[in-house]
Amino acid sequence: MVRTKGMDASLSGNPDSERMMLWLIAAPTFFANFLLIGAMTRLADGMKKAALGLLLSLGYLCLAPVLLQLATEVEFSFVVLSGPLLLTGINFVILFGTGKKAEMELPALALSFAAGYVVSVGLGVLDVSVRPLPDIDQFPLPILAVILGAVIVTALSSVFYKLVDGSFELVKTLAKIVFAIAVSFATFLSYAVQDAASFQKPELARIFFWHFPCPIMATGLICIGAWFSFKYLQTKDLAWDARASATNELGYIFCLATMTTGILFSYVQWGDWWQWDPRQTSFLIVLLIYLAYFVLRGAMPDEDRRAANSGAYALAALGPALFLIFVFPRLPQIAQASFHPTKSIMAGEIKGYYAYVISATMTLSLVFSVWLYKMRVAASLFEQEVNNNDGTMETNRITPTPTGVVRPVRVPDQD
Amino acid sequence: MNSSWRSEIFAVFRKEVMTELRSRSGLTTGALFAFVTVVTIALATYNQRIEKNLAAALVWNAIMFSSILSLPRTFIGEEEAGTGDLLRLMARPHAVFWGKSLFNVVQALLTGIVLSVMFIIFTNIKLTVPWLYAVSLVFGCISLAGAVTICGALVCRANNRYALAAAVAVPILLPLISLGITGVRIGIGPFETDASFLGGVRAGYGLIGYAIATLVIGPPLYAAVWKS
Amino acid sequence: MLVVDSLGKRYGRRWIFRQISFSVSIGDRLAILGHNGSGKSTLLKSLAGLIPPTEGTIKLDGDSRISLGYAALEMALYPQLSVAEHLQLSADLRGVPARTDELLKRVNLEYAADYLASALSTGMKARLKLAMAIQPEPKVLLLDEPGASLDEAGRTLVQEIAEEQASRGALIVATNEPQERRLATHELVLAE
Repeated sequence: MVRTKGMDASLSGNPDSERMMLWLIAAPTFFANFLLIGAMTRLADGMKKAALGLLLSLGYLCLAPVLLQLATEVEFSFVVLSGPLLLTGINFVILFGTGKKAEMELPALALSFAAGYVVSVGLGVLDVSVRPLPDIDQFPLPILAVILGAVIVTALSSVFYKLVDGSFELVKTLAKIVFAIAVSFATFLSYAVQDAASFQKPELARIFFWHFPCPIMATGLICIGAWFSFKYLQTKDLAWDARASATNELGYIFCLATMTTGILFSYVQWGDWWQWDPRQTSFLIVLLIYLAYFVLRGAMPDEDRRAANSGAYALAALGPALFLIFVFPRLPQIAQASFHPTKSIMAGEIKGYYAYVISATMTLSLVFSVWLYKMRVAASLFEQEVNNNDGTMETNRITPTPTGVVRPVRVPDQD
Repeated sequence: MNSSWRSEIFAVFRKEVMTELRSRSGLTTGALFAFVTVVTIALATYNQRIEKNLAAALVWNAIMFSSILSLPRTFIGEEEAGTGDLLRLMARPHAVFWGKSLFNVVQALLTGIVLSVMFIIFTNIKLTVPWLYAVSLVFGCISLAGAVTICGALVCRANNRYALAAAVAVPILLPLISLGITGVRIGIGPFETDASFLGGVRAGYGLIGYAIATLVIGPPLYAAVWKS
Repeated sequence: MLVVDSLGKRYGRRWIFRQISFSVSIGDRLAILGHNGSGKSTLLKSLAGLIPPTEGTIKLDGDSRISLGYAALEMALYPQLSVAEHLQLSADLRGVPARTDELLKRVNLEYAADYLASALSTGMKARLKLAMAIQPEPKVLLLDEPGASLDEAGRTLVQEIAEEQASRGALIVATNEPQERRLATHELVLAE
């Protein structure tokens, strides 16, 4: 019934103490995560966010033993994994929901997401490698544990929201809970499937579920971002620029997630963090191309100029980026050097539970992206609105005094 | 192309040439950089036969960096001197882009050809497929000029333009450089199989396509940022 | 000829100007007044199409290269090109006859035709920019503090050019000088 693993003998002692250790690693990471965001955003908001972030992290840490108990009883480890994933999500919500200085928050956002993602997947990998995996028959209790965890964390996030900006909406909170449950369930499924026999470390092939959607999302978002940039250049409406930059930011975050999960995957399956695998290399360059996009934006304070130039750059960069993603790894001599199992994916060798899990993670990343995108655009449009009103949020305050033609010798003709 | 476009493009081109000949800043910088690079490579590999992969990469590195150093000047110099507004008042963006690209293509070709001739002489490399080497070099330089011109145009009104031009151009140029290296490597030869020769030819086609693509998308992109 | 509707420009959170609407037609001479920093130059640059407005529209009849002339103190010239080459370049780009001799005579620079721009004084540069601005016989002529660097003869020249312009189109001048203000038939005051 129970499959045994034994990657690292030194860690396989008492399961509970190992789990405790994982949590001890996890907690400071989350804390650092929040502090980072706090430091990156403006001081007043930042202090508040950092303090509340600390509270939330501590609160979650206090809950850990309860969840741990539930998880240990049924020999199940995914609760540990769903925690960081959810926290990363909440992190995002806070950042997007309350952020006003959009441009400044990108580095914080990217770092926090990458950190959260790496911690999640890393802890999952570590957890799977130190202890036996549960059997797929033991579903009900772990699911209950996950649902409980998700509900508690989401409720905490709503309290957090309430404290930060005083708003609370039932429907949105419910939607978040449903989403959290779905993420947890997908995580659970990804652990419950059979090992993938064709991999060197079959049990660790599960990283694939969290790796595979990232490059696809990144590519899609980059293309959509280029389309929005095109629309901006056509209409010169700053709303399109807000959409373009939000899309590219999300795309970039998925690029980062692709790289980080890829590096992890590379380490456990091929034995090295960096292989100079053609796909790894070409994605690194894509990462650089889009990093330049944000650097370019940062160098132009005037909004219209920033929008036009970065938009044109996004269009110019699309060709090389697509070349790197689609053409370069398939060039004859280069394709041979790749470790990437492209052929098995293309040949439809992903079936059964694997296919379900991938569909689930794909769908969730899509929902997640749309959600984040909407919040990001709303924040940008809000910022534009604030700028239009001389930095105040009272939209009806300014009734611009029309500067007219005075002391006319003759009233101007209307032609 | 009707005569008014031709005369406008030529006016921009002539202005660039006259400014360059009277100040000699861009070409001198680029040429000096290229020369120093080649001499350094020759010194470092003194008495050895350079392996063809390395040789191709070295040639392209030298060309790429000397281009990034000198080519964005056409737009950045304009904004630094404050003459950008003058041009925006009088010219159409397509004419400006074409005129400046033309000038940059000439400059890149000059640098590329001089540099690679010097490289071949200094390092005693024998070419197996000279025409492939030439095609890769010429179309590589044209693509390079087109792409760097676009990047220069996009960053010319930003803060710290020169550093930004390099940061923006390098990642966009990498696919082009990878094609260029393949073409030049096979051109230097010797190559093992027919397949690798075909790979080199394909890289040559790729470079021609890249050159056309940059020169086709450049003008509309520039027109879009022209008055922002 | 030139119709401006609810024009506004802001940098970051500061509106330089907002809700500016007017129109000019043949014979109109509009003076834009306002103390330093009130946005006169920015408004003129927006009208010239050098700065994209944040909101509002500018409608100009015809190709702006030909129907618009603009001269400002801070606009630079190519240091390596001569006076005559500047006029030739401008004519080639705009697709209009160069009229180099005629224009240089008009602004009293015929003796300096072969001087490089780097060798010109501020006043001479201002005259060259005036010549380039009127070269295509524009429908709308925009002058930003035209008299600022000119001597008495130069100011008279500006007056003459302004009067010539009124017979052919409209003139918009940003200024604080009482003398130039008298040129105008209309005024627009930019408040802080």
